[in-house]
Amino acid sequence: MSVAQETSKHSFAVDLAHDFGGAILFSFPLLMTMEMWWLGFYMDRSRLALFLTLAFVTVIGISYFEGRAETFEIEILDALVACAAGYTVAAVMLSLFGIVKPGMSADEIVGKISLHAVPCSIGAILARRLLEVEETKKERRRREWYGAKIFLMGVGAVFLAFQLAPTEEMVLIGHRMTAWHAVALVVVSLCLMQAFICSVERRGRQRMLAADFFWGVFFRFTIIGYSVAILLSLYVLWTFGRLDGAAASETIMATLVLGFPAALGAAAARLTL
Amino acid sequence: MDQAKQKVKDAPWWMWGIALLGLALVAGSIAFMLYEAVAGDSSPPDITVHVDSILPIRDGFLVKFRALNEGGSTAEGVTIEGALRNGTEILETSHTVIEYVPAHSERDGGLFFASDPRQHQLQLRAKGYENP
Repeated sequence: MSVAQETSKHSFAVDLAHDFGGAILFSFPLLMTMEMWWLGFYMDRSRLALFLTLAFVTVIGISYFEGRAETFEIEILDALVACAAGYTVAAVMLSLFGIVKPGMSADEIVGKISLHAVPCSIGAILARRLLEVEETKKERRRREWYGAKIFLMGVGAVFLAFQLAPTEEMVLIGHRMTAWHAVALVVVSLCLMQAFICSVERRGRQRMLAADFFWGVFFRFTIIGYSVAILLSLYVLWTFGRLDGAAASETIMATLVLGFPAALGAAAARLTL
Repeated sequence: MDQAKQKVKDAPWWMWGIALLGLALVAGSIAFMLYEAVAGDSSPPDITVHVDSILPIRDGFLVKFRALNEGGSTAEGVTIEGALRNGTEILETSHTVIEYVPAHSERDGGLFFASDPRQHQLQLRAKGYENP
């Protein structure tokens, strides 16, 4: 009994170390992006509250689908510990960089730390999957569920979209592109996704271009995944206020531009998660 | 299933503590943001400029100032202008732009002058801003 306790304590402490590592590794680009700091104090508060809530639900979802299969209580525990690690890393790093200083209003401090805590928490919970190899058959079966695959594609999409949405370049690139550029970008995004996902779903099949397999993957994963990526791009752009006062054409262009890295993130998620 | 139940009992007490901290941080920040959204101050920017100190430097004089935004909204690209007057005559003006002055916050800066501001009337004001 005591030996079991020893080993389980060790693995919890190691998990916590992985959390901190993952939180820093996945979020340091955003911690050092000035647009993120500014959004911390000027972004709409109700949108930020919604974003924090959805991020928390996402962390729980990732905890459920990744790592060892455990009771629901432990999955929630893991998710909460990852969030605690995320907030701590965000607070420490922002203080270290002087982005959060004493004398700033509570609204500014809470806004900056909680916004940066989102990528930190997601990084923390993802670290368990990517830094740890131990996995049971039950866990693998959980991820075989179609809904799980789409959810994890969404996580990948949001993660990459989030890295780029705070900056102005998405809207700027949208201005420089013509409608033909936009169509070409959609085609390129779909082709890249199809290529990535086909290679993942292949599983030893010799012919990737067999019509039923190719189109099966296309309709079940690529189109759905791209739609999810586009919808999440639209949501993230709206959250950061990049679409306020924008005409429909500007909105569509910015969404398609952000949809490109989001699509890559969704496809990469099928590879890594 | 038995193993999983065992794991719940084995989770060390400090892990539960950290989990509770996590829950408090997440719930607290969401609640605080909702409070700010509903009951927070969303009045337009209200910027006043105060002189902190006036120093002689190699190429003239430096007026260090603080721009204080008492309003409930962030002001972007705030132009601060300083004018040296002798009665109604304007001797010299200097200006600078502050990137962001968040709501209920202050930002510091400085204006350079050729004449000594201490010998004349110094007037500092914010001239304009844009919405982020």
